[in-house]
Formats: sequence, C-alpha cells, structure tokens
Amino acid sequence: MTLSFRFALVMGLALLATLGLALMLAMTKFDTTLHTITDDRRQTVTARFAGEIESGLDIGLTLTEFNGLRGNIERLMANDDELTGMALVDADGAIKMAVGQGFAAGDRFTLPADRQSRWTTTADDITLTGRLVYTSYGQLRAGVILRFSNSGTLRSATDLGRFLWLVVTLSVSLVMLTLILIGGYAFRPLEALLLQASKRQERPS
Amino acid sequence: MIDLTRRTDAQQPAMWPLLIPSMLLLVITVVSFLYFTLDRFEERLMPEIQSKADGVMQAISLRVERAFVLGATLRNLRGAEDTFHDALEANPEIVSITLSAPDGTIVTAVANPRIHDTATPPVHETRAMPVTLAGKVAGILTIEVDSGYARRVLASLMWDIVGVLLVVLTTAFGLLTFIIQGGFGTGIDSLRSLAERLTSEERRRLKAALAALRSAGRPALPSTSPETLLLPRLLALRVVIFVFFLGEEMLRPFLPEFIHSLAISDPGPLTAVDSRMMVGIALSLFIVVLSLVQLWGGRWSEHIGRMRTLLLGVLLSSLGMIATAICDTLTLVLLARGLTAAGYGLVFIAAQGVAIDLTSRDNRTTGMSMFVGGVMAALLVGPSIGGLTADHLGPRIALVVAAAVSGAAAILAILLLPRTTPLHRPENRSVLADLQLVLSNHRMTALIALSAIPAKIILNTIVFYLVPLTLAERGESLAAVGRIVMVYGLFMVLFGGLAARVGDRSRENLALMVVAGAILSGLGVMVAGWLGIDFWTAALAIAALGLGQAMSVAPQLALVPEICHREVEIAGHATVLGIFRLLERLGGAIGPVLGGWLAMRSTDIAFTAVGLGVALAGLAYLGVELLVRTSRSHISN
Repeated sequence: MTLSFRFALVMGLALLATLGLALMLAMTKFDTTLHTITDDRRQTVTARFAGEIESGLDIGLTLTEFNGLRGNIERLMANDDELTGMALVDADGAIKMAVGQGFAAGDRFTLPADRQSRWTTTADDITLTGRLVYTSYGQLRAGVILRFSNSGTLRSATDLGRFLWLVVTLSVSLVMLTLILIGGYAFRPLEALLLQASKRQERPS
Repeated sequence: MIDLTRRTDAQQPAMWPLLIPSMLLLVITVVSFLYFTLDRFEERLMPEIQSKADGVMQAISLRVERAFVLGATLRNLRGAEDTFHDALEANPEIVSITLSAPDGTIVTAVANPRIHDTATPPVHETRAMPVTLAGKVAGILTIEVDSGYARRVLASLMWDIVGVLLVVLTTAFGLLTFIIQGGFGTGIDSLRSLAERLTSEERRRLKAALAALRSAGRPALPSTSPETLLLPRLLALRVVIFVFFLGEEMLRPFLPEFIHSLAISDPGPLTAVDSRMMVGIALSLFIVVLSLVQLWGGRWSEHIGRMRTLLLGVLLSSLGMIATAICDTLTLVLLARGLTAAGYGLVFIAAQGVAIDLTSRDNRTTGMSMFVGGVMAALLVGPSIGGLTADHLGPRIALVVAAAVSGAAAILAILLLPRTTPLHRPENRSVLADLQLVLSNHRMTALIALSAIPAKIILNTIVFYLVPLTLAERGESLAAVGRIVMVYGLFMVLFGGLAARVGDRSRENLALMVVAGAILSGLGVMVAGWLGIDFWTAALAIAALGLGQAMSVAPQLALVPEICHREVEIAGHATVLGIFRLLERLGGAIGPVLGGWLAMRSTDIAFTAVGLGVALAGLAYLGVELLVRTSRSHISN
C-alpha cells in the first residue's frame, strides 16, 4: 500500500468518524426536536377541542350532543394527514363519540391512573394525545383523545437520515480522492526510488 | 555515500506542511457538512413549527372569541396578557403574540423574554388570523415565529461536534505520524542496505528528491541513525500508550459525579462519610494504589517481562472499569476503582520500561518524550469524548466504552510492540535509603514540598474533582464538563513544549518559571473561587491552571538534576527522578481529600483556599531559592 494511499485512508477514516459522529448527534437532536414540536402541536390541537367541549358542557350539552365537533374534526382530518381519529370519553373512559379510525362508540378507554390533565402515548407508529376536561370545582367530566399516525414523520426523518449518510459517503470519498492526489504528489519521488531500490534488491548482485 | 543521516530537528513538525492543508480540508468539509445539515433540518422542522404556531393561534383565538361571546370587548378584555404569557412560556419558538383592533390599533402585545434576551435578534415570520364575533372581524391576532429556532436548537450541538473533530484530528495526527514515519523507517532500512548498490545517477536523483521535499516542506526523511530507526518502535509505543490512557481519561468528566450519586444513593457501610468527601477519598484511593503498584511493581515487571506486565495491566484496568459500570454500591465501586488503579500502575511501569529498554542513555529523553506525548494526547482528547459519551449514553455505558478503548491497547501492543529484554538494574539501595538521600538535599525538599506537591494538589483537586463535580451539579451537560476539562490538556500540549524549550535555553531561570507557573495557576483558581464558580469561572480556573502548569512542569523536572548533583551521582538520575515522582504523587493523593473537606463548607471556598495555598507555596519556594542564591553569592564573594 503506497504512503499516499495510507495517508488518504487515515484522513478519510478520520473524516468519516467525525462526520458520522456529528450526523448521529445531529440526528438524535433533530429527532428529539421534531418529536417535541410535533407533540406540542398535537397537544395544542387536543387542547383546542378540550376547550370547545368544556364550553359546551358549561352551557349544558351532554357528551353525545357535540355534533358540531364531529364536523370540526372531519374538516381538520381532511387538512392534516397525520390526524386519523378522535374519541370523546366520559369520566369512566367509555367512548361517547368517535370519529375516524381506531375508536368505536361503546368501547372503553383506560384514562391515566394519576388523572394528569394531558398525556401522550406512542405505540408503533400511532400516537394518542389526550386531555381531561374538569368542572370548575375540579370534578372530572370527560376526556378528548386524538389519534395521530407517525408513519409520515418517521419516514421523513428516515429519508433525511439516509440522504445525509449519502452526503457523508460522497464527501469522504471526494476528500480521500483529493488526498490521494496530494499525497501522491508529495511522496511520488521518494516512493519511486524506494520501489527501484527494492527491485534491485530482488535481483542477484 | 548519500547523506540520509541529516536529521531535521523535529520530524513531526516537518510533516506539518503536508498535514496543515489536509487538516484544513477536513475542517472545511466538516463545517460545510454541518451548515448543509442545519439547512436540511430547518427545511424539515419549519413547517412543523409553523403548523404548531397556527394551532396556538387558533386556540388563543377561540378563547378570545368565547370571551367576546360572554360580553367582553377589546377594551375590557381581561387576562389576555396572562394567556399570551402562558402560550409564550410553553412555546419557545414564538417570538411575540399581539391582539389588535380591526383598524390596526394594538390592544395587547407580549414578547417572549427568552428570545429577546439573546444576543442575536431572531428573524421573524409573521402569521395572523382574524378573531370573529357573529361572523364579523372583531380583532386580529398576530404571532411572530422565530424562523431561526430550529437552527438555534441544533447549533447547541456545535461544541460537541468541535470536540469530536478535535479528538479525531489528534488521533489522526498520531496515526499519521506512526504510519508515515514507520513507512519511511522501513523504506530507509531497505535503502540503507542497498545504498552501496545505487548508481551515481540514482544517488543524484535521490538527493534531488530529498532537496525537493525539504524545500517544499514535505515530510523530511528521518536519518538512518539508530535513534531514527528506533522511531517507528517508539511511535508504536506511543500509539499503545495513547489508546490505553484514553480509556481512563474518558472517565474524568463524569466519574466524580457518578461516585457522588452512589455515595448519596447507596453509601453502604460508609454512611457516616460526607458524599463529597467520599468522592475525594475515591480519587485519592486510586492514586495511592497506583503509587504502591508503581513502587513495588518495577522489579516484578522486569522479572515476568514487559509485555506480560502490560497485558495484565490492561486486563485489570478494563475489568475494573467494567466492574465500576455494573456495581451499584459505593464499596464495590471503590474496590473496582482499586483494581483499575492497579492495572493502570502496571501499564505505566511496563510502558515506561519498554521506552527505557528500547533506548540508550543518549536517546532516553526521546523515548520518554514519546511516552509523555502519548499520555498528554490522551489527556487532551479523552475528557471531551468521555463527556460526550456519558452525556448521550449514560455514565455506565461510557465506562464500558472506556474499558473497551483501554482493552484495545492490549491488541495494539501484541500487534505493534517489539518484545524487549529488560535492562538489568543492579540490586542496590532500598527505596528508604534513596528517599533519605533525596530529602537530605534541602533545595530538593523545598522543590518537592513547595512546588511539586502543591502542583499535584491543585491539579487533582480542581481539574479532576471539583470542576467536574460542581459543573455537573449545576446542570451542565457532561459533554460541556468534558470540554472544560480538556482545556487543561490543550494548554499543556500547546505551551508545555514551548516552556521546556525556554527552560533549556535559560537554565538559571528554571526556578523562576516554576514559581511563575505556581503563582499563575494559584491566582487563577483563587480568583475563580472568589468570583463564584460557574461555567465560565471554572473555565478561567482551568485555563490558568493549564497555562501555569505548562510553564512549570517541565522546568520542575529539569531542576531536579540541577539541584541534585550529588544525589544523582550516588543513586542515579532515574532513581532521584523516581523519588521525586513518588513524593509528588502524595499531592495527588492528598488533593482530592483536602478538596472534599473544603468543599463540605463551600466549593467557592475550596477553590479560593487551594488557589491561595498554591500561590503562597510558590512564593515560599521563591524565597527559598533567593536565599540559596544570596548565600551562594556571599560565599563566592
């Protein structure tokens, strides 16, 4: 292996290590940031519906009478590919109204045991975000659960990761090629002589 | 005969003209890649951020509309400001929220203080929506989104990546030195054996090639002197040393906090000891075990062989690290650290022994400088990469990674290191007799007590103990702690060589350099403590300490033979230096316990007291030296 190639190989590995580690760190941060923003956005949407339900309950509607809400959800689902379903549950978790996929009226949903007012659960590529609705006296009245599909977010992050790994590979290859050329120029005279000397050594004197 | 023996002073620097453009190319590629990556991330995150801002806007609009329905108007809308503040608190990417009347008059406007406090004003993107009442526009809600938010969040990784780059470049540089010098060494071996067979035309061409290399600043050829042919072997030793010590240096940023958390959660039979004090004891224990192994292990290593000692040391050290990672009680972790210390000591002895075996008296300094170079390179890059690993994977996995890194030194040793025959050392004086001899020299005693021991106390207390522990407790990431600790190694590497050269040129000023270094490091640490320890004052303390010790460490060692002529003649240079090293380690053992005791009162007090103590010790040493010089000039007069 020529010196120039060894030189380029070490530098190429150094670059690959740096870019690889940098990309891994950046992708981890990106994933965390993306999830935080996405979760916050979904919670904001859920909170909006929880607010609407709270207002409705305040003026005396029962949980089965939120027909306007169904229309709102369907409009939102038409504009947001990730939102796939919504359920309105009573204080015991029994589904009183369901729209879209994943929920069926009459089913029972287990509300968080610690009664936290907002929660998010993720399983496979489905995320459920929930909000509990309380009376002004602190009594639990209902819960809103929105169902989101993560497949688009996951696919987009994976595609971006793959693309950036390709950029890393290309950058490392280009830099190695450049360094082979630089190293070849620097080491050529000496390597030629060493080669000649080695050949002479092989010949009988 | 062709002159292949003309040796450049420093062969490594001769590689710089080739390395600098290559390293620059690497840095440019990394920076360009990062910018490209940030752009792609921003492109992907921005729609999510905008969508989230829209959601926030709709939620606020709904609340305002409900208030309008209940009879509120823009003029008497109460609680809008609080709602906006809550929304800004929960959404850091929103710059401001404004509610205005349909004619544009602003009713309520709240800005995000976190964004407005930053030095660079954010680039805004404005989004607006009407607030309606009975189908009519009753107000306009406007939200400004920080369009640089994604970039800002991801840019926090920048320092981590700079740390990675530095580690990788240092490692690559070490490897290149080994490969290129090794390659040349082999080539020259073959050239030397064939030199007589070269034709005059080939000799002329070789000369021209060498001249061209020198004038272009490309790698200069090493000489064919035994010292140069030795170089590849010493470089191999340096690679092994670097890899082994890298493992232990990786632990620096997180080990104090790791032990501290165990001392709180499961102190076992050591409940009565303060948790901070316990960290100090653990660090001191490591140095005590290491010193004992070094004290008694030297002859044993000569007996069983360097390679076996080295492999055993690597094995014990790695096992100790893995045991530290899996143990969950403080007592077991202390035992595991003792095991690591024993391994560390054995590797130290064996590697130092290989350097001695490979060299003769004439080139021993080169051998030892290779040894020290490996240790320093590990000190430079280890903390940064260790902190980063612990930050992302947790301290226990970082310990396993460190064990694997140290363990890799065994494989490298088997592959690269030559089997050496230990030089026979005459059975002569006992350690106690040597100790007595060295301490009978009062100048030497002063150097040890007022300079060497305080230097180790401040190093082990501040850099390896209090800074990592305090910063971790204050919520700094372990990666940031690693970078701060790395500053010490950086200053040592950058200025240590320079200080050594200055000391070589003016040997009469060696003591002054030692004093200046002690005062600088002491004052830096003291001022940091006085200002109160945070990220930046800790950085100031470590930078001052690094600079101060870079100035004083090499002159300290150079002073030993200068002030111990008689002792060196009787016991030999190596023995006197060995005793100096042994006593110096006392400082390393005392430091963390002293630091722990002081830190039980306050970290700031610990910094101030240790800094002040070291500066005063430096001044006291200056006094001793001045007295000696004055009395000598009186005698000569």
